[in-house]
Amino acid sequence: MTSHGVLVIGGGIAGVSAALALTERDVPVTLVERDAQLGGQASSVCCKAVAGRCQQCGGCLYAGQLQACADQTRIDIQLTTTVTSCNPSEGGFRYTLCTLDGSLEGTASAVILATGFDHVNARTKGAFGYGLLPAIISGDELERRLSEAGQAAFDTDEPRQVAFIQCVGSRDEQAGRGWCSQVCCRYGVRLARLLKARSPNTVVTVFRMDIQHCGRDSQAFDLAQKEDITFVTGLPAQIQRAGAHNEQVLLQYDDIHAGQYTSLLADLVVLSTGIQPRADAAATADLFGLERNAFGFMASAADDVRTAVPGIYLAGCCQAPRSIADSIAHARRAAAACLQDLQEQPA
Amino acid sequence: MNELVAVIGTGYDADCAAQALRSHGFRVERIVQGPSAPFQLSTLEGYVGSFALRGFCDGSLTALSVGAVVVATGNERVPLTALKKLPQHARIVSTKQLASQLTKPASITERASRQRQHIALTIDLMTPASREATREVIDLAGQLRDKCKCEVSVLYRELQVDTDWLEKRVRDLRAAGVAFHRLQAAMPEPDAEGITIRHADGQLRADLLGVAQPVRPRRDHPALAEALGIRVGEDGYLQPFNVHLYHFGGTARKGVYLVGRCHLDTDDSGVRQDAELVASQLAVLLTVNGTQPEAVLAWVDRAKCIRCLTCIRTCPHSAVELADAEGVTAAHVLEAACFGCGMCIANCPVQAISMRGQAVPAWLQEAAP
Repeated sequence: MTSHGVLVIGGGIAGVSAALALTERDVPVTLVERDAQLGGQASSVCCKAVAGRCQQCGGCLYAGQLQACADQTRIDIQLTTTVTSCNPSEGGFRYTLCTLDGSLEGTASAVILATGFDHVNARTKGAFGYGLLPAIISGDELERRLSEAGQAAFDTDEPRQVAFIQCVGSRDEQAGRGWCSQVCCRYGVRLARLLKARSPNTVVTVFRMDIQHCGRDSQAFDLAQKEDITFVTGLPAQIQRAGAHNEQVLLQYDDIHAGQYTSLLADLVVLSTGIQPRADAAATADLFGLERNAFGFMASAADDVRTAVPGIYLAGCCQAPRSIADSIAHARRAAAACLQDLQEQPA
Repeated sequence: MNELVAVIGTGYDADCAAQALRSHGFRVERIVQGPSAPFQLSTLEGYVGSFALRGFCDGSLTALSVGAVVVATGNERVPLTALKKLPQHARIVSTKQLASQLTKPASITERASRQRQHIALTIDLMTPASREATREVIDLAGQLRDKCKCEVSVLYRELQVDTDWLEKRVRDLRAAGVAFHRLQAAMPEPDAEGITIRHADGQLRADLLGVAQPVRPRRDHPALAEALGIRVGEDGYLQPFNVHLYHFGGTARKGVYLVGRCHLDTDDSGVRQDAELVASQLAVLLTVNGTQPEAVLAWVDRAKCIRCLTCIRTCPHSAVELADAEGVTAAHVLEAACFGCGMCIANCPVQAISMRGQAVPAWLQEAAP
């Protein structure tokens, strides 16, 4: 039986940040992660500095939070562990964890859910040929390739013709994903600049509906336009192999400004895939007695962090798509709301 | 520890900041900016937990001692009359004006409703889109469609729908009959009977055009930033866009925080959330274990210091001051304000400053003389 602390579920950037924020206020925390290590999806994000200049993507933020969490002895970190039950009981929750060493019971005064998201599987957009042609990769694959291999990210030469396709699996009502994933324009445009900077002769074209780069975050977009990165309004209708013995692919699209159907040859196509609710989000919602919104993300109150169940809070992408920095900010707010409610509770 | 927090600003952003701070148990002192304000701020001295806001009150110098400072001055909306290329015409009004007349009898919206007029709304006619303007137009389009039963068209160059499930709102509005068109470079052309607007799909005729006023940073930001010892970004908003600080309302000076549209591009709900985030961070910072210094700090060898003030000028965090001790005047690092960035060490002409602390990185220890 563990003491009356807060149970944080998910060891990604949101869960780790929430746990740290609680520890700063001297609240004991149990952090549960299903993987063998902390980090989650943020750990595959690469640094997107162009010519030594930071693009403010936030990819490096997770490392500091993770290190602080590892240094923090007051967080009880349970790796390779899942929650099998969690029920309200006398002013708190009684839970059972499934660990490698068997099951573990405990009580918590509150629960912060930071179960994260799934990348949209680009195969669901069949017309883009993902999984069939090696020249077509998803945005998170490019991130991982760049962060793991760095300069040696491409086997042979740098690709000379690169196309980015935005909104793959976002803003797509027909596929049941009628939301904007927030992050794809940000990483897509920054990766486009990064590839352009690696070999300036590369021709980069970005196909988009609207660039979701608002206000102060629009700097990368403004710079990209100055760097001869072409932005095409509208997405390609389909992508095909250029020829029987040709590794290149042919993108066919409608150029709305020229008013005609045209095509573009590319060596590499990056599909900027979005964020969707985890495949097991329904099971998670059932386990904690939570509702989900129309899109399958966890439903929250108007403040984004509280839920219909008193004592359960949401942090990060399980509630809505978010960037790394926004996830940290959201997790801190979830922790603050949790603490505020705990302090108001009669002892 | 001083639990009084100064909130600078008057509008909605400052109200949110004050409310969030009070709910976290702080006392709040509101400070109004502007030439007619009773308190004219001149400098911010000290460090987190014991700041002194100095300024003039009725012509005499006064100081207010506070634990932290929250800036929530908001942004500015550009009046339509200041938009040079926009034709000035009775049929072209701001979306704010339209929204304020929605419920009034005998107003332009009431007439539009009675005559089933066609109202066009633009989000980003002349300047890049902002979340505030986008939200304003989408909300207004919904109200004009539902309450006034007008024909409504929304015109945009880039439709910013990344937050708050706005994508769904837009789809719902489309299903309810609101038309969305991408703008072309051409300006709207008003005449006696209506307005012609060209867009990517052709052109439309509207009876009334509502233009969302562009958003811009307040022009008194540089003066305010100088008084507070913080910086202004290249784009004129407070604090350079830095991913380590921007999303958390932080500044380079510990204990000085930013809330709302003085540093963010956001709408009302974003401002409330930002205020809550800053209040919760201050609740940690202004507690006993919150102001613990960083693991690595700069330290001045008083015997070597030649009082050239280079470190005081170059410190991005206002963490160095001159202090007298044991009959010597020398630079002194305020531990609570120091970030351990090493800027002073790099710039000191006599190598009088070094890193101290448990976590001095190995490369720095090796480099030490």
